[in-house]
Amino acid sequence: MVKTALEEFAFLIPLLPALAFVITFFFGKKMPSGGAIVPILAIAASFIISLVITFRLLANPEEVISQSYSWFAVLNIGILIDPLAAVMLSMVSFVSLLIHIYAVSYMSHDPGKPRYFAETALFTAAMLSLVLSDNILQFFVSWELVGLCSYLLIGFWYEKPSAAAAAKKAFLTTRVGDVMFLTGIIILTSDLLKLSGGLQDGTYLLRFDEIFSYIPQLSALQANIFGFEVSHLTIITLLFFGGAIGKSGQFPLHVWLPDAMEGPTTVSALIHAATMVTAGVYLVARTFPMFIAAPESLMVVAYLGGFTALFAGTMGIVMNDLKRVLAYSTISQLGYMMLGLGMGSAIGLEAVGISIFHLINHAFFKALLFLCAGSVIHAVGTQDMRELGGVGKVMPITAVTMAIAALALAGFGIPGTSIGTSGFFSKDAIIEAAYIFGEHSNNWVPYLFSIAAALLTSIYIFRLIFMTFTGKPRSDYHGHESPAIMTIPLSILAVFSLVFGGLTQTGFMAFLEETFVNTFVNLDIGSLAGIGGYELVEAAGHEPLLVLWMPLIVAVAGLAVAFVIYYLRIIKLGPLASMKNPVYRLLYKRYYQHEIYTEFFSLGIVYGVVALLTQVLDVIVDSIVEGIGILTVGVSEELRRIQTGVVQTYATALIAGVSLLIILVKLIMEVL
Amino acid sequence: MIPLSFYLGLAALLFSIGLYGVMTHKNGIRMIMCIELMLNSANLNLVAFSSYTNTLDGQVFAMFSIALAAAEAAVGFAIFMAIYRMHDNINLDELNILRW
Amino acid sequence: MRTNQLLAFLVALLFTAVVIVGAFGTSWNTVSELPANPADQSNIEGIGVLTFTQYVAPFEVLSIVLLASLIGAIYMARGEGNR
Repeated sequence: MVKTALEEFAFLIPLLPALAFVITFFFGKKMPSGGAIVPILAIAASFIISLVITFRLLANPEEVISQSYSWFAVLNIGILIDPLAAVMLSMVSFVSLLIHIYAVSYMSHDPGKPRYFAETALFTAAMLSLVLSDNILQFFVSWELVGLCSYLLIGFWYEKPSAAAAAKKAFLTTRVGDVMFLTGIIILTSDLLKLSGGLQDGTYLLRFDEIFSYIPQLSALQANIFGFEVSHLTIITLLFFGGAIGKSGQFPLHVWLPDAMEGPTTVSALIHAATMVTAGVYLVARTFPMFIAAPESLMVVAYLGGFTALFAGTMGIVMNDLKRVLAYSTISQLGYMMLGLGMGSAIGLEAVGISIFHLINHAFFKALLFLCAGSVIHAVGTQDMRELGGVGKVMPITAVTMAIAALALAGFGIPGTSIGTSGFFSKDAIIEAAYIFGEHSNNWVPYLFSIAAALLTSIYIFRLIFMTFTGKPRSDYHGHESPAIMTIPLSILAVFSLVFGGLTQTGFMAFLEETFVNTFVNLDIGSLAGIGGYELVEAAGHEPLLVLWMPLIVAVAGLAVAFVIYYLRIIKLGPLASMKNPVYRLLYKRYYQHEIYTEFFSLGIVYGVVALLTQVLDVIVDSIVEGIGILTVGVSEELRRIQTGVVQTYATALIAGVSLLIILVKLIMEVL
Repeated sequence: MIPLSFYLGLAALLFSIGLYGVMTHKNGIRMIMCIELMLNSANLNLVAFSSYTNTLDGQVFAMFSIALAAAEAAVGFAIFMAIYRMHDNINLDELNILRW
Repeated sequence: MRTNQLLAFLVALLFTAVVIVGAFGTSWNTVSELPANPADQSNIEGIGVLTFTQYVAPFEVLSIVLLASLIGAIYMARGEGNR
């Protein structure tokens, strides 16, 4: 009885925050604390429902909640809550709830508070609906809505020109990804229509289980592009990954994430750490069976993810802005998640498990990092790390929680046991998977990427900690510890960052593996791999000891480097870390991406072409329109002379017309 | 006997003579006279038809038509009096206020 | 001739041609013989009978129309407001 009752409530999960959005948007000004209480209550309710559903699914993973309603033709609206969706739902609503509580105090001085809470409520609603959508079209609609909310929230302080420009950049860059995603959907739909023999009422064409049942046939369809024979499945999955690149900030569409720090820090924590950027990873995980059967796409995912992880890490070590370092860290960690998914070509479904595990853990400690940064910025007033230092004396709680988050991010723990921060377990799993992949296919590039990125991660995050919290203050600032309403969410997230990984490691991955092999989506991953032409191995750990300890060694090495440079101040970076050093300049200027992307490409090429076309069109269209006008006036000037005003001419015309008419009718009658 | 169409042809000829007069003459009185000519050609038509179908309805109709022609001529002349008072002549070419 | 007269002439000619062609081309439904006695005076009598039996209503209306038009013509020809 409880089961059926629970299923009825599943649709409330995205609906309640949406209602909160409407209420806060219209009535927020009149409510105390800017109408924050309504979204908090709504998200809390969603969280409770998701948690209950998750526990129920943990008990029997077979009872997936699936409700579909026909929309029109073969399209449907529906809810699918399987293990993958359940953990995402719980994480999203939990982190969103904590950040909302934090924001009550953080945004207390801001006059636009009702707008802020309304927009974050809408964002939460959109993200939740994205997670539990059961067909790819509804997924895409929620995806777009999430992108819209991101635009609104990044440009929250819209009077600042840099914020408005950053919001526009974010929207346009993700738009490039969205176009690729949509193209993938279109190709998929047309192929499915062809394969299923036209529209049949009663089948839901774009629902995930329907799509998966057509994978073998999709893989068999071949297309000829530039002389290469590629299967349709590869094209579709690559396009889907293109959408994920835009939304999750992989190279080359990662340029919007650092600029997105113009928004309030709570926005950065919510959107760019925990939820929106993970939508891309969730997309690849959701359509993972398609990726398994198209190994070339998985290779692209792995390489791009690994490269992004390394690439962003190199830029993170030279940034001086507190939030910029964290932004590059987010890009880097998302690269890790993509890398983990890409390892699916060796370890099959477990790749989804390790990647989503890292996603959840990353959400906790990255949100914690952002919120702590927000706490520091709120108290001290500056974001530049060169002006900070010694904040630890003034804000002990923030310092401790941020240190915990840094340990989680760098991945500290003791291998082979259950002792360690969450980040340790999830990052370790990915690096192990990369090692197994390397053994299996003799391709060590992903493994090298992941190890190098781990080293850089440790360096930059401990650089941040030491520069900010230790030593003597480098400028005059007045700081104080944040109020309890801000430190309580910090503490909760710190606890989760510490213990969540160790507690749930094995159970989590096994739970997620159930996603694609239960009664709802019953797939034989091995056969799918057979389509792709490779076989899978078990991810059991039989690695040599060195490999097992390598992640920890690398993390400690990074800590040591940062310690020596920034805490003990033994090694002076001096000329090495100035603009005279070309390498430093390259990194600091972010590989000149701004110049290449914005200045050259957008403003130069695209705007130039648009301006040229506009001029050409202007000339053509103007001449046509003006020509019509002149023609009309000219003709009418001549024609108005019929009106002589003399009656006799009218009579003449009348009789002439009548005679001609009679003749005409007679002729027509003769012809017919 | 003469076929009916000759009478009709004669009436048509009279009509077009009257028509030409209406379309050409500038003087108002002349125009009214030509209109009378056209009316009479129609009467001729009526009577011809009545004669050749052995009914008398057409001739009754023709009588009414003559009476109407008289009334219409009277009104027409009254209008011309008014025009004369305004323009001091009844040259129809000058009544072109409604031109372009 | 002025263009006006030429045009009027042509139009009138055209019209005549159309009507005559129509009249001579149609097969009229006529009696084959005219009545024998052309000196029969009963025509006028017949007209009078028809007028006052079948067409008496149009007759009365016509008389009123005549009256009205004559009154109107006299009034207008007298001059506006010139009693």
